[in-house]
Amino acid sequence: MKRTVLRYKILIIVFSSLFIPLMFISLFRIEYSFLAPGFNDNISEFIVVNEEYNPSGSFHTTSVISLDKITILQFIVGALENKVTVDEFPDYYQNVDLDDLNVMSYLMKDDSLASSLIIGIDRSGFEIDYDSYLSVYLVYNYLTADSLKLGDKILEVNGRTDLVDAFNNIACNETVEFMILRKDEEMTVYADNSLRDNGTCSIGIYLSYISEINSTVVDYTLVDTDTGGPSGGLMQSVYIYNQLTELNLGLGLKIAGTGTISVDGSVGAIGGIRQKILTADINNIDVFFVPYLSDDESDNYKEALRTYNALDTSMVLVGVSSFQEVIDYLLALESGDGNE
Amino acid sequence: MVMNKELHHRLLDLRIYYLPGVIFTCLITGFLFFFFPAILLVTLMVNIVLLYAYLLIQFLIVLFILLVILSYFTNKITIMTFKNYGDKSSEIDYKHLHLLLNIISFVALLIIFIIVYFILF
Repeated sequence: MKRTVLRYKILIIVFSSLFIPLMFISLFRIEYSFLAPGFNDNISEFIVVNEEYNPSGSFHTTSVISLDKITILQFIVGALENKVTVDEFPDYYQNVDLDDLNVMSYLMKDDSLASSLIIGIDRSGFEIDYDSYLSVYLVYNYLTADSLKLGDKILEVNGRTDLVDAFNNIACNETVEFMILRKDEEMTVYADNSLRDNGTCSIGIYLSYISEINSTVVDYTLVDTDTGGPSGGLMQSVYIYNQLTELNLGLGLKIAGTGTISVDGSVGAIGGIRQKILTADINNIDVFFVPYLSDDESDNYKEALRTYNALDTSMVLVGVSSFQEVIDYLLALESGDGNE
Repeated sequence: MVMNKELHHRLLDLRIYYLPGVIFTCLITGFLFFFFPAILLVTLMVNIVLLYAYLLIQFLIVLFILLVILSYFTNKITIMTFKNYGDKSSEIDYKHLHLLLNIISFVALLIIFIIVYFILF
C-alpha cells in the first residue's frame, strides 16, 4: 500500500488540494435560497377521477425547485445560470422554523387539491358538500408552545365568529382568545398581539383558508406526490372539470398552468413564475395559463411575459383571473376563436 | 461460461499466492483510491443537479460513466498493489483479474444506479 501511495504521491497531493475546498463549498450552507426550473406533472397521474374517460391532450401542473440555505457551490452556479434565481434569505425566516415552512407547503397543497375538487365537481353540476376554515399555516418562533399550532382551525376570535372583523379589531399588546379545532377537538388557546422587533404588533401567525370535503357523489382518488405548494390548484380544477364534463378541452395539446384556486373560482398569484415559464418551455407545453390579476409590473402575467418574450418558443401564454376564463379560452380554442 | 469458470478459478488462486491480510489491504487500497474521488463527484453532482432538475437523467448517466471510468483506473491500482506485494505473473493472469474486478464494479454501480433511479422516479 505504501509503495502505491508513494507512486501516486503527486496525484494524491493534487487531488487533496482540490478535494478539501470543493467539499467545503459543496457542504457549507449560507443564508441564501434559490429557485430553479422543476417539473411538469401530468395531473392524471395524481388525481384519478372518471377513469373511463380518456380525452386527447393532457393537463399539467408546473413546479419549481426551491431550496433554502443553499451551499456555496449552488450559490456560485446559480448566480452564473440565467435560469436560476438566487436570493438572500428573507428577514422573517429568522423567526420561523424551516421545517414548518415545509409543512405549510404541504398544507397549501392539501387545500389546493380540496379546492380544485370543489370547483371541478361543483362547476360540472355534481353535488359536493364542504367546509372552509380559517387555519394556521405558519407560526413564528415567538409563540409559546401552549398557543396556536400549525394546522389549527380557528372557530372564534375573542368570542366572535366574524373572524376577519375580529382580527382587524385586535389591539396592540392585547392577549387574544382563540377557540380552535385541533384534530377534531375544540379547545381554547391564547396568544399575545405584541410589539415585535420590526416595530409592528403581531401575533406571529400566518392564516389562510383551508377547505375540507365532507361528501360528494363523485368518486375520486388522490395519489401522494413529493410536490408541495398551492400553485397547481387552477390546472387541477380544469382537469377535474374536463374529466367530469367530458368536453375534451385538451384538444390533443399539452396544457399547463399555474395559479392558486379559491372555492369561488378566483385565481391567486404564485411565486417563481419565471422558472415556471422556463419549465413549461423545456417540457414543450403548448398552452400555459398564468394569473393575471392587475396591470402592475409585479403581476404574475407581466413577469411571465418578460420571460416569455425572451424565449424562442411556440408555446402560447394566456393570462387569466378565474377558473371560468380558462374554460372560456379552451372552448373558444376548440371553436377556432382562441387568442393570446 | 467456460471463461467465467476460469476467472472464478483464478480469483480463488489469489488466496494461494497472497495472505488474506495482503488481499484485504490491496482491495482496501483500490477502494480508497475510488472512494474519495467518487464521493467528491457524487457531492458535486447532487449539488448541481438541483439547479438543473430537468437534466436529471443526463446527470445520472454522466455520473455513472465517470464512476465506471474511475473504477477502471482504481482497479488497475488494486492490481498494481498486488504486484507490489509479489509479482506472480507466471501464476496469476492479472489481465483477467482486472477484467473481473471491472465487471464486478460495473455491475455493482449499475445496481446502485437502478435503485437510485427507481427511488427518484
